[in-house]
Order: sequence, then C-alpha cells, then structure tokens
Amino acid sequence: MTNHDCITERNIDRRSFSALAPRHLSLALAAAVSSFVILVSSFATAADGDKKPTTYQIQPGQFPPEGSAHYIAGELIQMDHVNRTGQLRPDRRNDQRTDDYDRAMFFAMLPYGTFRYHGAPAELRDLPIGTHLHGQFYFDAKQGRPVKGGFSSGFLLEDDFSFHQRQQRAWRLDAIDLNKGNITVTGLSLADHKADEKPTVFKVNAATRVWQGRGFGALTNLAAGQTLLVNITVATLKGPGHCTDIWLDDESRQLAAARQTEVHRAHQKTHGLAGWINTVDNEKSHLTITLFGGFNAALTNDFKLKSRVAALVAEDSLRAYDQINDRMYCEVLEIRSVPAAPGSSGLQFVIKPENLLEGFRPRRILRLLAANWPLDDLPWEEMLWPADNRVK
Amino acid sequence: MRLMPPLRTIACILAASLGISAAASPGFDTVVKPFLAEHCVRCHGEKKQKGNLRLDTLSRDFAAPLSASHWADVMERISTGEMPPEDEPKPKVAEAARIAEWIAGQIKEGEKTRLARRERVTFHKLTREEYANTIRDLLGVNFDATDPTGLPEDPSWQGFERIGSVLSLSPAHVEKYFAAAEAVLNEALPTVAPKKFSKRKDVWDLRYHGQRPKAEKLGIADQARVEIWPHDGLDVSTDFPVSGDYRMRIKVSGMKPPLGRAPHVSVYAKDLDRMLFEQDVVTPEDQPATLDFTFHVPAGRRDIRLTCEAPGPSNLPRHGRYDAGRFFTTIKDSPTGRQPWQWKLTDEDGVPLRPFLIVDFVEVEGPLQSTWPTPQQQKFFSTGGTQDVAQAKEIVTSFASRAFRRPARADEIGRLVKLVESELQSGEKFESAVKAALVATLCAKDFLYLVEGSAGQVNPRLNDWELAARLSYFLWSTMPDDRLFDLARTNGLHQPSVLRGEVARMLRDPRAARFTTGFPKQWLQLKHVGMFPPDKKLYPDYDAHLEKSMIAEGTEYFREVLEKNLSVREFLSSDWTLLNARLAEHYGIAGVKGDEFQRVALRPEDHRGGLLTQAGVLSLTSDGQRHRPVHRGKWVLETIFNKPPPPPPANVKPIEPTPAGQPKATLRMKLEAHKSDENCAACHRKIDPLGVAFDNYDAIGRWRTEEVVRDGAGANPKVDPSGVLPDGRKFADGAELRRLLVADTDKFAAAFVEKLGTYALRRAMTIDDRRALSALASQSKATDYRLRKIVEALVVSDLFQQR
Repeated sequence: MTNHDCITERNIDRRSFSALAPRHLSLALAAAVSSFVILVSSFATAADGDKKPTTYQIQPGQFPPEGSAHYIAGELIQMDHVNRTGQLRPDRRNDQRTDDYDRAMFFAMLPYGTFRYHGAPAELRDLPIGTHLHGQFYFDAKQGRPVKGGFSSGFLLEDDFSFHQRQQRAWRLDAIDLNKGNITVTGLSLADHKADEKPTVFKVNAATRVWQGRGFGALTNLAAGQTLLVNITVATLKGPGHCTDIWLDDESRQLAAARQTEVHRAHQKTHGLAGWINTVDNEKSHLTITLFGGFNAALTNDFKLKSRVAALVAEDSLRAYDQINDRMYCEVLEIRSVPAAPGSSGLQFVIKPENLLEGFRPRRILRLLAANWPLDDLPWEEMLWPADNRVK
Repeated sequence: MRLMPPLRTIACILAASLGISAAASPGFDTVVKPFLAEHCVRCHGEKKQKGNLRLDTLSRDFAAPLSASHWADVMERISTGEMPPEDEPKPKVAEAARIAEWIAGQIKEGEKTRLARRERVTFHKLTREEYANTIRDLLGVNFDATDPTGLPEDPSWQGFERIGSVLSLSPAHVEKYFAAAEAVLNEALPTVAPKKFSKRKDVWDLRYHGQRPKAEKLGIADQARVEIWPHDGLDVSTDFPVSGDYRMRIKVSGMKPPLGRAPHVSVYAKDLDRMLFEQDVVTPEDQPATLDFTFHVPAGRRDIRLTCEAPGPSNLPRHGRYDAGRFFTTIKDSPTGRQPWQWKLTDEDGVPLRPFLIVDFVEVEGPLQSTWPTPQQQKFFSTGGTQDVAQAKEIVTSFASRAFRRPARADEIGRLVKLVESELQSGEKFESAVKAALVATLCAKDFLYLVEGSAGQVNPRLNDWELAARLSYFLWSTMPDDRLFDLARTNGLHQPSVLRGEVARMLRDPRAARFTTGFPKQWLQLKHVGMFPPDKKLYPDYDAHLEKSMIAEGTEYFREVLEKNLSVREFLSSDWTLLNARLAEHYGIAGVKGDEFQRVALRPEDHRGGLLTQAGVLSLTSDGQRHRPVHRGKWVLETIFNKPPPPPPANVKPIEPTPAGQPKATLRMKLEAHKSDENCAACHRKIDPLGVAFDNYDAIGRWRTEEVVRDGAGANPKVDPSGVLPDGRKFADGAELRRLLVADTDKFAAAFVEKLGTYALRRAMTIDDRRALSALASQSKATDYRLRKIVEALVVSDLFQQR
C-alpha cells in the first residue's frame, strides 16, 4: 500500500492471516490433507478456530468499529460493476460441509466499501473475472445465516498482490519446474523476513504474465531465491491456483501500482469522490460531508477552499442519476480532518449548495467533483435516470 | 426692403387666420402685450420657450378650448404670484390684477361661443367592462369581454378608459359586437337543454397516469397525492361542452414554511389569458381545504393550469420535474416519495422549507344553470305566449327599453318588429326570429353608447333617464336598476334629496365595488404596474401575486376612505394602510396573515402612509431595472395636482453610465449633472423634487437607504431624498414632503374633484367646467374633504346633471 492511498485497513481482522495461517498449516499437516486444503487453510478465517465469525450489524450512517469485519476469500465469478455487486466462489474452508463447497456467494459493497488491485485503489470494473480476492464483509441478516453466506455487505475486496503487499508479505521462489508447470514458493514476512513453515506450489503456463522491470519478462526469467508477488486464478478448486501474473521485482510492482492508481484517478475525476452527509443546516444551506476512503489522496488537492464544486446525489451503490442535470454547485466552506474510522477518508468538507435537494439529508450519499474535473455525461448504463437500460 | 410689403401681407393673413386681431381681443395691445413683453417674453418668447411655452404667439382665440386653457394657466400663475419667478422683477399688484381680469373676461366670452357650438347629442361608448356588466344585468349571462374572443382593449386618456372622445368604433368593433351579441343570446336562450358535465381529475389523472396498479401493489394507492413545487403546476385543461358558468373544486393542502410565504394557488386559462381563481392556501397537511369557485368560459377545450405561485428556485434543468414511478404520499416520508435530485420540500422533521401545495383532486362541473327552460327563456317566451307578432312586439319593446336605458321609441320598435316578421316569413321559428331582433338591439348605437341629448332640441341638462344612466355607470359601471328606472319614469331622480339617497343606496350595493376599484385604478394609472416587468435577477421576489397585491392596496385604500367617509387628505399621508400578508412581507411589516387585505397601523419606522408610499404607485413609474425619479415627479404632478408637465423636448441625451473606476453615483447625482439645459431645468425644478423625495424606495417600492448601483467603483452611495419645492419650501425626505402636501390639501382636493368629474362625466374637464369644479372644491373643504361628501356633492351638482 502506498502512503497516498486513502484506504482504511483498521477493521481487517489481521489474525486471519499472519496469526492464524501457521497454526492452520500445522493442522493441515497433521491431517495430511492435500495442497488445496493447505491453501484453503492459508486463508482460513477465525470461524475455523476458537473465534466465531463476527456478526456485527452495520448501523446506518456510522462507520463500523475496528476489527468488526469478517474475512472471506474467493474467486470473482460474476460482477455488476455499475451497482458494485457480484459473486465470489469462496475458498473452501475446514469448517464447511462438502455440500457447501463452492457455493456462490453474493456481495454488495457498502457505500464506503472499497476495492484494491495491483496495490492501488480500484473499482470493481478493474478486477478481471476469475481473480482470486481477499474480502472483508459484514453480516446482513436479510441475506441468511452466517455460515450460509449472509456476509454479503462488502467492505474491502483486493487481489493477492494488494493483499500480500498490504500485509508486508511476499513469496520466496524456491523451485521452478516449467515442464510440469509448477513453481514452488514459500510465504515470507517482509517485516521480519521469517518464512512460513511449509511451501506452496502454484501452477504457471504460457498465459502467465511475468512483470519484470518496466516491461514484461518471461517464465524463463524466474530464478530460485527471487521474491515474488503473484495473482492467481482457479484457486479454489483443485489446487493452490494458477498464476495469472508474477511480479519479479519492486520496479515492476511499482509500475503496476502506478498504472492502476492512474486508472482509478481518472475514474474518480469523472464520477466524483463519494462521501456521506453527516449534518444538514437547512437554514444556512450548509452540508457537512465525510468522504469515504479508497482513493488516491492527491485527488483532494483539487478541492480548494471557496472553490465551486459539483455535488451529485447518489444511492448507496454510489450510482448517480443524471449527473449533468442533477449537479448542484456548492461552495467549499471548510475542509477539515476528522478522526479516521474504517471506511472513512478522515476528510470532512463543509459545503454550501446553491439550493437544497431531497438527497441532501443526513446519511445520504453525495459524489463531489472538484471545480477542474470534467462534468460530463456518463454512459447511460451507469445512470439511474431515466432507467437502467441494460438487458436484464 | 422691397420685401417688406409682401411680408406684411403674409403676417396679416396669418393673424387673421389665427384669430389674432384687435377686434377679437380688445385691449390686448394696450393691456396685455406690454406686460408680456416686460415680464414674460424673455423666457417664453422667440429665443427661449421655458416649459415649452411661448406667449408672444399664443393664439388669442378664446373660443378654442386649448388656447383658452393655456391662457387660464397663465392667468393662474400670474395671479398666484408663481410667475414671474423670484429672480425676475415683480409686476405691481394692480398690473397683475388687470392682466388676470382681462384674461378672465376673454375666457368668459369664449365660453359662450363654445356653448353655442356644443353638439346637441353626445355619445359615450361603453367600455368593454361596462358592456359585460350591462349584459350580465340585462340577460343574466357572463360575457368574458377581455378574452381573445371578447372585445378590444379600451384606449385611455390620462389613465381614464371611459372617455367618450377616445373610445372609437371601428369595423372590427362592429364585428366583435355582433359576435358577442350572438354568443350571449345563444347562452341566455339556448335551443337545446345544456347537458350537465362533471369531471373529477384525481391523482391518477393529474400525474400518475396509468400507475394505479403499481401503487396498489405497493399498498399506497389510497394515500397518493400530488405535490406542486413553487412555480410548478398541473395541467387541468378541460373540454367545456357549452359556454357558461362552471364550478371548480380543488382539494388541496397548502404547506407554509414557518418563516416563509404562504403558497398561492392560481388557476389560469392560458388560451383566454385570464386568471380564473387565485388565493393563498395554508392548511395542515392532513386537513386539506376544498377551494370552490365559479367562472365563465366559452365552449371548447380550455388550456388551464393550476400553479403554485410562490418563491422558489428555477425548476430548470430538472430539479422541479416530476419523475415517474414515485408516489408522493406525505411530507413525513417525502424522501421516499420523491427523488433525491428534486428540490428539497421539507427538513428532516417534515417541516416545509418552501411553500408548496399538495393536491388530491380537481373537479369541474357545469354549466351551472339549474333550470330548463333558462330563466331568460321563461322571461321572454312564457309558455302561455301566443308566439305571434304581437308577442314579439311585447318582447322587443321590453328588451329594447332596458337595453337603451330609456323607453324605446315607436320607430325603433317598429324596425325591430319588422325584422321579426321578416325572419318568420323566411321560415324561422318564433324564438329564432325574436332572437334576431334582440341581436339587432344589442348592436344598436343606443345600447353600445350612452346617448345624451336630443337632435331636436338644445338642452344642456340631462333628462332623468340620462341621469339614471350616468349615475349607474359612474358608481356601478352598469345599467340602471329597476329603482333608478322607476325614479326616471316618474321624473323624480334629479331632485337633490333623491339623488343623495340614491348615492347612499348605490354605494351600499356590492356593485359599488366597481367604482371603488375602477376609479382608483384609472385615476392612479395602476394599469401601468408591472407594465415593465421587473428584472428577475434584480428583483427575484417580484411575482404576479405581489403585483396584484400592489394594485389591490391602492384600490382597497380608496375603498376604505370611501366606506369610512374619510378625508381625501388621507390619500396624501396617513398612519395606516391596507395590507395582505404578501405585501406586508414586501414592506417588512410583521403580523399580517392571510390573503385578505386588512387595515394595519403604521409606525414612522415603517416609512409608509398615503398613496405616495404604496409599492404599486412607486413601481408604476419604474422601468423594471431602476426607479425613475423624474417619472415619479411627473406622476405626482399629473395625478395628485392635475398639472401634467409639458413633454420633454426632442433629442434629450440619455444618462450615461458611470465610467469604470469612478465612484458610484445615485441616479439623482446623474440627473443633476444632466440638467445643464436651462430650458429643461425650468421644468425639472418643478418635477424632480416630487420624485427624488421618494428615492428611499427602489423600483418595486422597497425601502432602502442606499442605492444599489452597478456601474462605477466603491460602495453604494447613500440616498438623498431632500429637496426644495418651486415655492421655496424645503423638505428632508419623503415623509416631510408628504407633510407639505397635506398643507396643500385644498390644491389636491381641487385636482381630485376634477379627476372624479372626468371619470363620472366620461370626458375631459375643460375651461368651462372650472367654475363648477372650483365650487365643488370649496364645498369639499367645508366638509373636511370627506370623500363620500365629495361624491355626493358631485352627483347633485349642475356639472353632473349637464351635458
């Protein structure tokens, strides 16, 4: 994670990896299960052990407390990028009945829920189908029992690259067997350089992209002893997974992150930074807005005091209606920092719209476009008004 | 030098043609000419014509009303000492008196000539309002005279719309009168019974077209209502099967913000350019009011819109637009009933943020005539009738006598009966044949005109029939009622005691509202309010309701003075006025609720009192952008003192904007710099003080202490409302000027009597009316200028009873 990305990671239950994985590795060894199980156990959650999954209920208008999210990993198998919903094929877990294996899991991102890809902020549309993701979820009682997939309110979804980088972890390349299409790697903590006890074997093939320096390398550039980051697919079925991408060095990892950062910045500039309204002073026509996290912090430099920004009313999906016609210009009266909370950027704006709209109510979502950002039509399928034109 | 003889000849011819001869005005060369040469011609002669007046060539044809009037002005100014001005040598008193006496004598001589020339019969055309009122009283039918299908707008003279000499009759008028006669008679005497029509438009018709099943599925079909945002409205266009009176009922809640304005319902027929109904509505959301009103419309589809007239932002690009698929139910959950991109109606506790309406239904029913045959059919064609020429004669005699406001003559009846006979012979049914004669009656000059006098005799006095008509059109703007006809028939109306009794009776009658509305509107020229619509950016609060309220303050104020028989002094200054909530808000006066006008006590800090500080009066002289002090001064001279200044000379340079970088300047400052021309300055000395005194009021009559100036640099300049009257009296502001005007009540009363006479007699007051007007003014002083007494004295006077 770069220092410039406004992402809040505090509510991630860190034990789900660094603390639990070794213990489960040993359990797995004891059970002499397959590498698939080892992989699964590597990503097992608190539900597997002495801790029951948290069923904290999201409160309207409040960011969740730290450590309240529930970790689930899986592979992205379907997405509705406009509505920020999708489905995962969850990783198999030790506590599951085999009947429940691979049962698709629906998710809808919370308004302050974020994505990360290649170590940078992202939108759902940036994630290729099949990407293995690590997620943080909250239980939505309307969706079912916890074990049956009721954790549908997404807080964070990120690819292996982002996940491991954020955890300060990587893979040490131990061996390469291109004839079999295998690479043997061992998990490594970059903080203390401690290696996991047990190695993992990933599949590689001609489709695997090898990132090296400022360009692409080849599988032949792989050499034992390298420190890698990988993204994988086909991870939840019969093996630890196939590598879609392998990053051989820091430069290639920075290149990927920088590129994704620009992709997301461009997206935010056309769609606006999202936040919710904390308070409304109807008499003065003042709105206090807390911006959500999940964007490159440099974007806020475009918001100047006294500048004229465009506010778009949006739904919890962050989807606006008709931004050209709905925009309400507002004067930025104040920009202040507030105590960071999971989901929050820690930035609060006080703005004065030219007129009040129905959507200017506490807990409602706004998207803000800085004065120098382009305010233009979005593709029709992204607009809520006049109607979703996509074929059902 | 050789040219001299021809020049002298031409001069003699000109002099003869202009009536300028020693014989026509004996004593002029010895008495008047030297005086004018010494005291007047330097400023009003060949080289200068201050006030656009030249005396050395002023016609001395005193039989001509215009020149006689000019000389009367000269006489008045000399005898009052106004002229020559202070900075000129003063004539001896005896000298001035001799001049005044000479002029007065010439005017008197001229009067005899004018009276001898007077036409034996005078015609005064009904205004379109009077036409409609008369039709209503005659046939019980409402005629929409101002509709596009009605009658052309009446021209006016100095604000008065009933001046016979300017109400002309063109071929287009004749066609309109014919069409109008046919339309009103068809409505009064229909050939088939009108079918009753009733239509209720509920929320499914008004907005949620075809969406009832969806609302039913949501379980809110019985809760759905329709909200109307400020400036927004509903299309309630309706097909009216026949012309007639209809009733509309609107079930509506009016949501008023705690500190804001009440929502104002307006129902406007766009194609008729006519407001059918308007009213402030304030009711709790769960206790809607049912507005119930009637109106008259011609048959056909009428483009009607129900609008919430209230302040609010522009509804463009789409924040005020309705979005299909949402059902408004209650303000408490309006966020779910409305789209987030729509204007915010209420705060988080459901308290209205802006005025808006919630409508449940709009219902139209009619025509309202409840009986068949109609009352007019029963009256004209009673079932026991013989349906022959004799009955036709009876019908047309009765009808024409009422329509002509006098007994119809035998020759007139004969022509109408002949028309009936002709129709019957060509196969028309009896009712249709009679109707043709009635149409002819309504197109006759004796119906369309108030005819006074007789071709056969010279009689300046009105007979009682003519007097009854003059009186009823003066106070009711319609034909005489049965009592006036009865009094005319017995020749008893002209008796002063009877006339006084009739004035009292007529002013008690609801029809007197036409006088209390019509006269002040025309006298004060309130028709010009909003003629130049105020700039929306400069005056965003200005709207149709405010404009109507501004006009209504003037008419309601007049009504109050008349009803309470107060002194006309109250028109100049007062410590009260009549306001509704809308106008009170405009004035910044708290505590006035509702749309009804109510008497409000004024404090000095309200800066109001009398007509001159009323927003309507202050705005009618503005140009939509800024106040116009010169126009205000001119209005005061014209309306309050009946001394209209001469028109400005041609090629007057416009006021230039202040160059960028220079300090901002008030309009008054710019005017001072502008008045460099000495000839202009002479008039402006009289006009401007009466205007700048009210510089504390902006173009829409709001109080201010600074003038908002767009061009130039620096702070807005302070208003300077001080001034000096032509007679040297100084004032610090508008309030002091009003006190000075009150001290001149006698001058105002004289002017007021003349204005009232113009309205009542339907003609301009001339030099020949001065004596009578002066007597009335003196009489009014004896009764402390009380308005009812002035009206009564006018009606009883010879002036009113003569042609």
